[in-house]
This record gives sequence, C-alpha cells and structure tokens, in this order.
Amino acid sequence: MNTFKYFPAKTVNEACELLSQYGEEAKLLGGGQSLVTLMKQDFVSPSYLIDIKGISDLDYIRYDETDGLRIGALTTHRSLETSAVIQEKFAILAQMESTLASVPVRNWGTVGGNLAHADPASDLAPTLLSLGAEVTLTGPNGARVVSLDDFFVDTFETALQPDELLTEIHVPNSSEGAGFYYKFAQRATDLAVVSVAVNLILDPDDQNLCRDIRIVMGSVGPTPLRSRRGEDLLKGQTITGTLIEEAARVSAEDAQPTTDINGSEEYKREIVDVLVRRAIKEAAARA
Amino acid sequence: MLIEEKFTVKSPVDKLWDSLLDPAIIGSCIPGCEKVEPINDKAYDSIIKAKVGFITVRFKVRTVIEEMILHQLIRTVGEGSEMRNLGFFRQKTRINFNALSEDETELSYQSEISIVGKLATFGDRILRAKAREVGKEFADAVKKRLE
Repeated sequence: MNTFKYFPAKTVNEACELLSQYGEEAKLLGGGQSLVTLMKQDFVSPSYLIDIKGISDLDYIRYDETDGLRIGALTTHRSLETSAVIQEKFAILAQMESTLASVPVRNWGTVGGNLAHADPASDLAPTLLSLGAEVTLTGPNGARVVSLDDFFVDTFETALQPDELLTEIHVPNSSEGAGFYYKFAQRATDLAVVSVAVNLILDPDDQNLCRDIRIVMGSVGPTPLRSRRGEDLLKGQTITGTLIEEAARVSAEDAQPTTDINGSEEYKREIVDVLVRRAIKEAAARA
Repeated sequence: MLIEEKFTVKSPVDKLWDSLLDPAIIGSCIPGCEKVEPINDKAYDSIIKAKVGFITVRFKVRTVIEEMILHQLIRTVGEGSEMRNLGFFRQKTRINFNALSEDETELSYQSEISIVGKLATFGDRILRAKAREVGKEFADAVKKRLE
C-alpha cells in the first residue's frame, strides 16, 4: 500500500473543503469495506484520505409518515438490518441486508459508502432503486437531490462531483409496498452473480391489481438496471401467472450480463428470468 | 475470454491493411494506447491504459505478428504486464479482411485473452464487461480515421 496523508474530518463542511482542495487525488473513507480492500491490493492509491467516519451527524435512521424514510450516509448496514422501523415499514431493506456479505462487514460498511462505490454487484443499490429512493449530494455550494435512477453512471462511476459527498438517502413513503430481494451467489458471503429486487404496490381496493411495481436487476450490467418493459407489463393490470412469466422473460432480455467465471451470458439471463418470477410472486404474497 | 467484433469500414482493403500496420495509426485507434514503438518488422511494444471508474491500470505490451496473408489475414500473439504488478495477460488475435467492394472492407477480429494475477481474481468481471466497450471504441476510431 502506498503512503497517503490522513485527515479526520469532523463535519460535512470540513470534508467538502478538503475534497475541494485535493480533488480526485483524495478519497473518502467511511467504513472502509470497499476502499481499504482496493488500497491493500494497490488498485487504488489515493494521496489523501479523508476519514468521515467521525461525522456523527450522518449516522441516523428517521421515519416520518408523511416524509418517509431518511438514512444518514454513515449508517451501517447492520443498523439498517436491525432497525425496528425498517423491519416494519420497508422490510425488503432489512431482508436484503441479511444477505449482504457477513455480519462483521455489515457492522463496518456504511450505506453511503456502498452507493458511492457504485459496484454493479451492490446488494443495496437495486433494493433502494426498487423503492424509488433519492440521494442528497453535498458540496461546497450546497446540497442537491438526485434520483437514484440518475445517480449510477457506469461501473464504479456516479453523478458525484469530485468535491461532493453523499450525505443522505431518502425513501419516499409512496414506495411503501411489499418487496423482495433475491440474490444468487456461489457462497452466502460472496458478491451477487445475479440479483433482483422487486417492490410491488397493490391497489388498496383490489388486492390482485398492481398499482405500481419496480423490477431492478443487479450484477447484470455496468449499473443496476430497471426492467421498465417488465414493469409496464404489470402496472395497472391484474396480476396473473402468465403476466409474471412474461415480465420475467422481458427482464431477462433487458439484462446486460457478460460471460465470466461465474457463468455464461445465457446462464445469467436464465437466472434473471427465474429470480424475477420468484421475486414478483414473493412480493405479491407479502403485499 | 474471447472478444469478437465485426464491422465495415468505407475504405479500400489495401488502405485499411496499410493503416493497421502503421504504428502511428493503429496506436491512435486502440483505446487508451499511450505509445507504440516498433521493435522490428514484426514486433511492437506499446503502453495501454485502461480505466474503470476510479481504477486505472497500465499495461506494457509486446505484440508479435506471427502470420500475414496480404489483404486477408493478420495473426498476432502478445503478452503484457501491468506496470504496478497487478497482473499479466496473454493474447492471440486473428484479424480478417474481407473486401466487400472497391471502397468497402469488412474487418473482423477474434481475440483470446487470458489474465492472471490480482486483476484476474478481482477484476475479471469488470474487465470482461469493459472489453465489449473497448472493442466498440476501437471500431469507431478505425472508421473515424479512415472514412
């Protein structure tokens, strides 16, 4: 590992100032579960490391019936997993967290770090996308809110500017439905080979009618991918087995997997098909 | 991993052939190529940079032409090492030229690439995904340069 200069930032402003000063030569250190691994392997060698773990203002989970859920960027995965309000109101988040790496990783890793890292195999990203989440990015000129749909640009690339940090995740209350996250991996603690998050909102007057749905696939493209064609097939329709199968089929077509050591492109499309089908059925059963 | 691409260039086959054997031109068409240096008539050294998000790798590559059939085929082998010792790769490539008309040539290539080292364990899934993009960028650059 190369040498670097270490700055423990105590406030968001201080972190922003340091980022403005050192730009792309600097990296933010949260829980360190992605960055430190890359640094140890020499894939990343920042000259300046800005440790933001001490900014206690960014570690919170707040829920309001009107506003929805707000999560501070430095909240750990384990906090999400064990939060009573998340288990009750956004159960898919807690269920997804139980599949993310191991408990020690979840104790250290932060939700903001996970999103800013923008690994296509992230478990958190597809799940939050299925919930229609948005993120607050704070820089020297203030804060801006970006839909998670627009946040992921490419593999390991986001809409974050070099002098900005992700400070908050907001899940609107309108996303309160029933969802399920399926992860297919070689071992339980591995990254997903394929993952699928589905959030389903049923019509309150007709429990078979799909009012809204989001189908998001992970690990099968440079960023998490929504199957808008699959969503459009089900939106406003009575859910039937045939429609679910059709939505799963078009989702598999929309995926952009590549052949690698974990399987061929065709194999991964088949897994997408199976997981989307199962996730919609599971979400419908929980709705 | 196998990278395959096929595309048509609005250029006579002889011009395309000469261009791909010109270090300056081929160097400007390979995405991330920082330098090409001929060693002899059949071997080239080059430095190629690849960037995925915040991860940048730089390879020192030696490419040797093993077989040439005029205006039809170029077959190369090569190997390269990452300059910070993150990994090592070997490649075997076949480039086929097919004159469709006097002014149009179809170019197809198949590259078999094997990677070892840290890049193979960590970066395999990322590199494979990026290889497609790089192939497309190469095709676009060749067309831009010759059309």
